[in-house]
Amino acid sequence: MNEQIIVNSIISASVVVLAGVSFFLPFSVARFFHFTHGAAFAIGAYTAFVLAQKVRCNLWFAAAAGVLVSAFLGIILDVLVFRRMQRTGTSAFVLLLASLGAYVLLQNILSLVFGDAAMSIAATHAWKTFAVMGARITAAQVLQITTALILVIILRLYLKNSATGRAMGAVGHDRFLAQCVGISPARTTTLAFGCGYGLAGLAGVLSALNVDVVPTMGMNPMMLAMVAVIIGGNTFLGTVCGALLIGFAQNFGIIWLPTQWQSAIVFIILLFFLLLRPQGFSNRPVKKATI
Amino acid sequence: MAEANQNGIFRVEGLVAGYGKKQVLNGVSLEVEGGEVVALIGHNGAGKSTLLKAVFGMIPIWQGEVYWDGVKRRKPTPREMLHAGAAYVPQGNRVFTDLSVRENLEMGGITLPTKQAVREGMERVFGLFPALKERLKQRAGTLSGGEKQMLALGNALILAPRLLLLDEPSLGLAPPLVSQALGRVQQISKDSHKTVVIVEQKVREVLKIARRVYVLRMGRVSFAGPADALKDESRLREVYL
Ligand SMILES: Nc1ncnc2c1ncn2[C@@H]1O[C@H](COP(=O)(O)OP(=O)(O)OP(=O)(O)O)[C@@H](O)[C@H]1O
Ligand SMILES: [Mg+2]
Repeated sequence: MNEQIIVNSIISASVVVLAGVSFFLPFSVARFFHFTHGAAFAIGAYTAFVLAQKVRCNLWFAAAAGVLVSAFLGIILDVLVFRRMQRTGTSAFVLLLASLGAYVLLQNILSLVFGDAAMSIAATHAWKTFAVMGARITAAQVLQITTALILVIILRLYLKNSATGRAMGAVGHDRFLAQCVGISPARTTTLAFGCGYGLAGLAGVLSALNVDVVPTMGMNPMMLAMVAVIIGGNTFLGTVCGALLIGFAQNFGIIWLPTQWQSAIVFIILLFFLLLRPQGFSNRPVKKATI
Repeated sequence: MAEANQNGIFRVEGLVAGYGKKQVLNGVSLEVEGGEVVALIGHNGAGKSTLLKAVFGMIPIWQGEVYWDGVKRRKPTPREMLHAGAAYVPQGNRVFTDLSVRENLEMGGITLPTKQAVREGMERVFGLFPALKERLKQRAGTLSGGEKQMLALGNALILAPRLLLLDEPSLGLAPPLVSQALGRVQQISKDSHKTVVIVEQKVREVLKIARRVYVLRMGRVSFAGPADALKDESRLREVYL
């Protein structure tokens, strides 16, 4: 019983980690809550679904296509919408609203094209089930956990050591100064949206292997990702820790609380952090609001 | 073609620039010789910062051109200017406040081709500002005003530029530190033959280190001449007020 809760926690955490780091990447550079992340998640899943189930492509090819389509969505959104707004000095709050609008639009398009009924890749690909220490886990879930782990390591190294990764940090900290030292803030932001939304698409594809594909499937992971970024104090490792905390709290919380509380637990943690430790897991003092 | 005798010379011709629809610079021309320190003074809002931003490519140039090393540029970009040996330190000694001193200098040197070049650049900066070496891990936001000024300058000097565009390096410094900071700028220019354009509000102080002065007024050059000419109080008041 307890083993199953631990394994379930790790499974939940891996989704939040994937959503969290993919949300973090553009957020840390552009500094606004981009709701379109949820659309990238769903569109990645739908692309893989269509290719795997309707066109009957190879599943790996379908997955790769899902990642690419979502990455492309990120680039297009940034170039056509966010970059223009940021250039004219639009506030982070208005950018948030614009991205929320774009999210609703994209979600509705998915509904119109595919309908609201749940679809599934998981159903036709029977995954092998393993027993780990008396707990059950499917191969698709193992894949999701492994991907999350590898991704955290790769992204950490990328952000710390590569020129473009460090440029993302610089633009996030001070756009103007980043430009002074020879970085192009516009190009760096687009790159962050491309990478972040590609990874959001990957998170969506991996989810689609485990759960149903519906137009709203990106909403919940995105909300959890936002919470992870906030309690992570807007740092990469903080976000990962926040995601782990959320995954475990959701699964352990329902030992004592009714199951309907699973989502509420997350927001209780968020409130707790906002009130008692607004800098989150980071040790930096909070700066002015970055909605 | 860049001629040898154009090296180190910085020239601006008929520069017009602004923000959005608002025109701030109404045709500014100036010329700085190689290794010369030139002061740019003027009242608040005269367009001094705008001029530096435009010539470094931080904002688009509407009309006019910039010559550096004899190369004409109508649309400079910061990256291009950095590669051509120019560096810009924005107003208020801006540094990456969330990053450590070391990380700041690494950002300053992000356009350098190798890690080795960054290390060498850092050593050179520590040679000039030993105080920074002792604070490598300190968050830049917690540095004193004087230390921030050194770091802001260090972020530019790590690239060993031949042209320095400085926007009010004395801003926020206590009076005794002002002449010290400006003295350092003069020393740096002299030691490695750097061309320097320095914007300052501390007029008397900057006149001591500059060879020539431009006075900017409502986006136009209203006076240009040797710094000595303005050392006389009444003459200064005449061109400045
Ligand atoms: N980002 C901006 N957007 C719009 N207008 C601006 C911007 N920056 C400056 N301005 C305007 O341009 C004019 C010139 O500003 P600038 O900063 O160049 O002045 P300055 O000479 O550097 O003054 P100070 O000595 O106060 O720094 C001012 O009227 C200012 O309000
Ligand atoms: Mg200014």
